[in-house]
Amino acid sequence: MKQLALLLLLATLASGCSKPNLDPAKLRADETALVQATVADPARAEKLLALLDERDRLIDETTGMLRQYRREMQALNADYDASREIIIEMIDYYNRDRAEKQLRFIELIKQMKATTSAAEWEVIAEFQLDNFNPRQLIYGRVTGAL
Amino acid sequence: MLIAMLTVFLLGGGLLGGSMITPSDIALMNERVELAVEDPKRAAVAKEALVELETEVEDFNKTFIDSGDRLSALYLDHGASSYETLRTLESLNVEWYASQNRTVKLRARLKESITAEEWAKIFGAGQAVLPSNL
Repeated sequence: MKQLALLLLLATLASGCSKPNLDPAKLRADETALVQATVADPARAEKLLALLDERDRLIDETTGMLRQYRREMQALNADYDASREIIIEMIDYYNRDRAEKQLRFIELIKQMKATTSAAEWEVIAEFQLDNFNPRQLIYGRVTGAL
Repeated sequence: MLIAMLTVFLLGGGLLGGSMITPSDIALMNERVELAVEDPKRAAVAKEALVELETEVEDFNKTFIDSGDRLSALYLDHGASSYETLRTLESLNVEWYASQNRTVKLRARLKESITAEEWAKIFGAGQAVLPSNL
């Protein structure tokens, strides 16, 4: 359900996507079907699908983090007297938070690759990079916070 | 199109480019400076800072976009190590951080030519534009 919500959001933000007419919910379903069809062992396929669920949760978290950062930075910037030190402190905080999520995502990629053969991964990764435009997945969703 | 899922997702840079402020945001700021700052000399100084801000945003966006190919290749490469991806991202993070620091300095320059009252008109409550990559 969460994935569907994510993809529906993606649909609303599809303007600017290279494939604006594609149905995001269908794309996500296609990704699932592709995994099931590509990964020979059902147990590995299920594991990979669970990792993709985790990916979606991480995207949600990251989107939330970015929205909050933008709100806080907007408020801080509006304060004429906000000091450089305070602004840098917020940038530092965001930088650390982002680095933590980067590490989690890198670990997810490692696990996804470990769950697949090189040939399987090539098919799945190409589909993901060709069809999911993460600039819409995360930053498109944040634009509205402006 | 392979614009870098990983770059975007992991770097957390910004909207369509690498910064959270876009050239169109700066265009809007320019318009607001024109409206809020009546003194033409101070308005001109403020606009100079905005030109530099735009250059900063565009420069980082180039770095950001260029990095996309590298990260996409690492993502596709089943044998690529996590360390390579981490190293690439850390390098981008360093560039982003340096860009943020330069932007904070530009904010200070912008303030030199704008009063608190004018600032509120440009960036205050109810104003949609923000230098959110400050």
